[in-house]
Amino acid sequence: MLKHFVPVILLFFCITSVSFADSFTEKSIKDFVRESGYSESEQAAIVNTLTEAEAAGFDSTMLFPRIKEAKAKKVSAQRLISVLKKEIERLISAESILSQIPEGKAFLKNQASLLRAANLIAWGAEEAELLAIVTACKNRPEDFQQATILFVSLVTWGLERGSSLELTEAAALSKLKSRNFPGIQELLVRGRGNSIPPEKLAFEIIKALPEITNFSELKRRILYE
Amino acid sequence: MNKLLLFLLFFLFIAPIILYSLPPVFILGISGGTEAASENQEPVSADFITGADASLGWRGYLFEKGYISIAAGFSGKIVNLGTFQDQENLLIKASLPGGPGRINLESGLLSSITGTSLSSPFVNPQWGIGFSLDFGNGDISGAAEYSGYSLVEPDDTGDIFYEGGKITVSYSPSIRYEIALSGGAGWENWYENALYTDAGGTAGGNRQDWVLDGKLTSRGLLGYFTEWNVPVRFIWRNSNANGFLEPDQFIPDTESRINFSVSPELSLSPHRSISIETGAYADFGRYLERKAFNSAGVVTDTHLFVNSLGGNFAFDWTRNNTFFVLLSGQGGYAFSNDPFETGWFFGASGGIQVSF
Repeated sequence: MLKHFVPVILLFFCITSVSFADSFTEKSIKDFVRESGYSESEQAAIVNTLTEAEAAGFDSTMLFPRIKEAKAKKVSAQRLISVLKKEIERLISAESILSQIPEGKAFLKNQASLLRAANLIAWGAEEAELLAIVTACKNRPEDFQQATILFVSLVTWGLERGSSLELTEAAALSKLKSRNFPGIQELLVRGRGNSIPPEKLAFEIIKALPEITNFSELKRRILYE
Repeated sequence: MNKLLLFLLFFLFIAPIILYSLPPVFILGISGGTEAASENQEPVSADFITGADASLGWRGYLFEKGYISIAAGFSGKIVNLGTFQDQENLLIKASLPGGPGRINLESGLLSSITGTSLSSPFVNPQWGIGFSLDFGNGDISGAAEYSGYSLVEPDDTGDIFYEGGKITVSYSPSIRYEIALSGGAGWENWYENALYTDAGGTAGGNRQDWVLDGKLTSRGLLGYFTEWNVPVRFIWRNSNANGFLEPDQFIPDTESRINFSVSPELSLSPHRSISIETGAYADFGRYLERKAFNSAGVVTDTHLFVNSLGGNFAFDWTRNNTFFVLLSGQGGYAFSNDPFETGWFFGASGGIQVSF
């Protein structure tokens, strides 16, 4: 059962760690690496990886959460370098995907959004899914984080992937505040309690979302309570 | 012409319901389990229960912004492969826009033809009407309601007619947290319960209770998959009921009491295939006048108290939203300064359900 929580926990961790990254400069990260207990040659290899990230156009502070996590878990330098390289690959993928559509340009300029896109790829999102969420969030980029969390939670819960994406898009395009997105999952759980198949209820929510202005209204329309 | 008009009116009424309604849900289930209890200092009794149940639920829109929901069910139990017990229920709810808020209507019926382990045969119609209003973005809401019921037990003298009102205010600063405060008052007319004189004769009139009920409920969402709910409730019952024990013991004011209870609940669905619900309760009851009996059956000088603690657990699993496997259990213990009010119960059951 625990495996169902892991992707969501990981996504939460990655998202919250973005704020830590923001407060660190490239110099202080390299200092952090030097003080992390790795040998000089290992430190040089890690710093080289950070330089590779910078050469690819990414701020090395974006990789700080991984370095901090590695230090806390006393991960070997070789393993850390491998993780950092994979992270850089995902950032490159995210950049490449986001630059395919005009709406993605604004997200590319925002370090947190780019990291979230990379994390979504790491979780297993497909290119079309990422693009669809970005497009739906084009008028509310600040809600991209909550929209991606909603999508991951719906898929993790077992809703069909297509329905999960449609529901996430409908939520992002609605007037519903993003802090209320977890309520959509709650509606599905309650619907299940009333033996309403999740896909049928998801369809009803998608139909109702364009017409509602707040969550109480949605709840009333869907659960009739 | 009139027929055409009637048809059009009928179509206008029924069409929105059909267009916007969810498909009806029909559930059939069978179960088996055990119930064990001990009360009134009697030996432990344990029963083997087999049962079958059927329920129908349907929800649809009424015009543009109204809705109607209907739930009906039947459950039958066979106790120790001998005694049959039945229970039926029907609940119809409707809500329609009314000025700045909504008008909510409710009507239902509970009944048992054979009686249940807790009661003789009964019929229990219920009704209610209320008005609710949302403020701001729906963060604050208020509701006022009138409700009533009638309990008729042909083989017993516990018939009740009840009417009451309640006001509720709730505040939900976010989807993750909501708090609701409600206060209500009601009148119970126990029209078959006669009152006694000091000498044991009939005093005229019948038992009438006034009940004040206050409830504070906190509920919220943990993460994406877990809901919690903690109601705290206070009830004050003022009753004129009294009793007389042969040969000459008059007992005044037998039912006036206060109760304070808390009953936290947690429900979790980490995946669509699993649902877990668990709850606990603690209820503290103090009688305002009635005294406790001792184990010899003699009235003492201390006021009666009855406290109870308990919990329940329910789990279901489904692979395809059609076939469900269910497990549930509940237990409780009542302790009191009157040995005749002390007891415990335990129940566990398992079953399967098919949803159509």
